[in-house]
Amino acid sequence: MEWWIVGAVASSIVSVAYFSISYVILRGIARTKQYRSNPLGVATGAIFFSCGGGHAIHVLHMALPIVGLDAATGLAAREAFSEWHVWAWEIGTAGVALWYWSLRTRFPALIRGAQLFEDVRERQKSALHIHDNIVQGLAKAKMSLDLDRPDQTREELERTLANARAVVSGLLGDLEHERGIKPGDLRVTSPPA
Amino acid sequence: MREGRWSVVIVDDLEDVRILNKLVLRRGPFDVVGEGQNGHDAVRLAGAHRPDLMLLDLGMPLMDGLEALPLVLRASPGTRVVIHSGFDEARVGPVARERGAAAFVEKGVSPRVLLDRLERVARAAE
Repeated sequence: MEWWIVGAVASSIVSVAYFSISYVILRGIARTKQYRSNPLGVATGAIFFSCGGGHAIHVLHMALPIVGLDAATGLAAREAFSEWHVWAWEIGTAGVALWYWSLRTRFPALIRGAQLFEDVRERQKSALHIHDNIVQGLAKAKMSLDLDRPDQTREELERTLANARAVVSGLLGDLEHERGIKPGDLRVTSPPA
Repeated sequence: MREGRWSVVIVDDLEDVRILNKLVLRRGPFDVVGEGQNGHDAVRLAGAHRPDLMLLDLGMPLMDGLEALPLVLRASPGTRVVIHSGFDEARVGPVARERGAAAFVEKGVSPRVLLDRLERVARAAE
């Protein structure tokens, strides 16, 4: 039995699986432009690419003597794969690679993870901004009204209204920056309570 | 505590709110003995005055109310901390209580409600 063939087939499977996994991950990173914000995702894609390349080189070395090239290197590589623990490990790696590939529908979680974290941070910032500029202002206006201070109430309401407009403009401003405000963008989903 | 009255420290980063709170507290059996603008002030004032009550905001610079709460209670174990915040009680109240708040009052409640809640907390501590 030419065990190096078993090793070469297993290594080929690993190489193809790793390249495919790398492609899916890096494609997701590229589509969501997370080159900088998701270094773990980029590194994961890169390591699969690098390992896929390593296994491809193993296979290439073992195949060289077939085409009459670099026979010494090729035969040495085949010799290494003749050791049972080497091809057995390669078969195991191929099994793991195929299992990982079968989980590819869950790869978006790898990509979404960092983006979600950024989204949560942005939402938290917006929430605190709205709290500081609108909720606090309305609370102060109500307190002033309850204390029969109409001038202070009016002042607070005017200031809060101006702040609220600024907050809304700021939030719409992101939309404007991305693609411009278009007819229909300002449609509300349900009438105010 | 002066006979029939309770000492209170007010901590809020907004001066307007502190002024309005003082006006409200003046209507009840409360003496404002200190004012602060952030969590660090809250801890310092708790240790310095050992007030019966602290009216503590949550959203503040440098140290927020949730961070300050346990430190205030450590500095003055007898102080009852009432959170006074613009945040929704349902959302933040449980966290505040877990950290030692005696009560949570949303900003914007009427003066009567605020005074009643403070008095209830003060009496419960006696």
